[in-house]
Amino acid sequence: MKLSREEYQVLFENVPAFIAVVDQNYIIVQANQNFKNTFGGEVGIPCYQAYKGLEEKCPVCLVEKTFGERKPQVNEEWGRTKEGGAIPYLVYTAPIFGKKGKIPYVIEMSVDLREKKRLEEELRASQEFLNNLIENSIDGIIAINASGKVIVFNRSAEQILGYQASEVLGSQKLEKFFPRSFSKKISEALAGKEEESLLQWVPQETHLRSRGGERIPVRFSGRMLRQENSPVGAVGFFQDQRPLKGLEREKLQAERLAAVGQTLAGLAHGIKNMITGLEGGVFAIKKGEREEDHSCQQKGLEMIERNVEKISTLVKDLLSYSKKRVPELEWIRPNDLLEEVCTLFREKARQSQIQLALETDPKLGVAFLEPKGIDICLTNLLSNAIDACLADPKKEHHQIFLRTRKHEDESLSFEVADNGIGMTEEVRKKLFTCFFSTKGAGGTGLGLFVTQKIIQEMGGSISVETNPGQGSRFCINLPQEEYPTPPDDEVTSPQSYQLGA
Amino acid sequence: MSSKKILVIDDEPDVLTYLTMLLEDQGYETCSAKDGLEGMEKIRQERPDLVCLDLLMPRKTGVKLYHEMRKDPDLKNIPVVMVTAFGPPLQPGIDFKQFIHQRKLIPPPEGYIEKPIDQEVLIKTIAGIFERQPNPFS
Repeated sequence: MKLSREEYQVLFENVPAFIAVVDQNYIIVQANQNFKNTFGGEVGIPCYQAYKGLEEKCPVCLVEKTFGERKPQVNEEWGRTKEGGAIPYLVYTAPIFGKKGKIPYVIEMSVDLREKKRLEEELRASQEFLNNLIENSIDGIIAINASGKVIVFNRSAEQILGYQASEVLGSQKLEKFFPRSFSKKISEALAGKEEESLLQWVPQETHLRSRGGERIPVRFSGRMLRQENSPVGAVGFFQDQRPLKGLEREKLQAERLAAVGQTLAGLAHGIKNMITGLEGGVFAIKKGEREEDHSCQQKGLEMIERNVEKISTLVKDLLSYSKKRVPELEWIRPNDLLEEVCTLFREKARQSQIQLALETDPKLGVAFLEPKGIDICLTNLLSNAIDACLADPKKEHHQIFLRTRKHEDESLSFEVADNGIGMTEEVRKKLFTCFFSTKGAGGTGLGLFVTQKIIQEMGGSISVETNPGQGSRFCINLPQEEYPTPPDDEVTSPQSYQLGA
Repeated sequence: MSSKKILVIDDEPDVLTYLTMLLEDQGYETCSAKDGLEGMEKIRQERPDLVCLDLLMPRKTGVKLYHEMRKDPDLKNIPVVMVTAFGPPLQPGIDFKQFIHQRKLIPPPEGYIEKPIDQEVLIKTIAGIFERQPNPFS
């Protein structure tokens, strides 16, 4: 279909572009309405004046080039609207051939770039804003793209980990900057193995290694980045916990000093009672001697033996727990360990008519722990649980529930729960204090204190939930994040692996 | 004269044995309890002429038991000798004699003995109390 002249005229006037036709002297011979409205240009004036308000031809003139090279040209220019505002535009020029190959005119078709420039500027500003946010965040931020390469490594990350962004960007060694389980998740997700549509790694306390090999305590949270359900990268945020840890240490120190006073008082109390027991023994022996009562003498002797034993145990405990110890870690099977401890208590539980229920997590294979320490802790908790049941006269049926769990973040936990007598808030608060006991002569007041110390030495924590009359639940949580990958799921003979100091 | 009956309350079994033996040797009749709760039961049951009371015990402390005794019209006249391992030298700022009677205007115990026990002092303290005070139940 051929367009009529009128139709071309309509198109010429209304096309969303500026159109002007100029002759060899750069004089506009024809222009559309759009051009006239925006630039205020008129037929009869030079194009440089119309477009840019210039007195002479532009230094780089596209029209001149088009006449000379006889072919279309394109360029981005800045002009001036009739209101005097700057206007960016993209201009195409094309020769209009006349008779005998002569070029009497050049047509200029320009597109308004104001909106595009505005959007570009907006985008640039928003990108700069985001970059500023990322760069100036007090958190370390590391992001990787879909091919697993580091694309963001902000200033805080540089400061905390000691790397320069320039040496890290593009690297694919994620395990250097991310906790092991998170980098594993990323690799799986990027390889398409991760099924979950949204994957977030909950904030947790862990350690990262700095460039110099130092273990930096951080609070880390990570997230897979997805677009329409397919992974496009991942990002990790972390806070340097070193200042906080310093404060914690100071607080701990102060608490420890206060505890020393308490400990001395508790110690004196215990020792005075033991001395009284010794004196009682001496008294009984003398009385037996005087009255020739052999059984009284025997009783006295037993009292002395018992109290000497108590004093020596107390002294041994004090010495071993006042020392700072490095736990001897080995690859062990926590499930087996719990079963062993449970077996030791089965007979006692049966006699006391307490049901022992054991639930081990099959996902929990081997872990890097101190078997001797865990054994002491579990024994303490289980024996406490039995005492708590025995001290509770109200319930007919008592049971103790023991279980192991492996968590998302690779940490593991041991739980000991009983439906015994439970604890008041007052007791719960003092629970882990040295020489605190609710068992009178039956307890040393060291059990939970020691348990907590052992767990803390392994980098873990112990928590308790309790309700008077209903029971208590102790939970030991042990992180495994920073340990090496276990040797092919096989527990070998004790391996002396020590964490970097 | 019928012999006086003394109730010894202490959570340390050896201390309990020692004190009952010592007091029986002095010609007193004794009975014993291993904590505050059992102590209260025994006081009502046995109606002792005097109570030797430890302070720090499970279930119910000696302090609490003492307060209950002094608030009970039936029991408030039974003399009490506190026998405790708490002592001023290692408990700075806490004077238990003061502590016991300062609060709620409860009178101080008739006697106060620190562990390790000086036999002479304990015997004299108890004898002195009986000399001054007739048996509240007779």
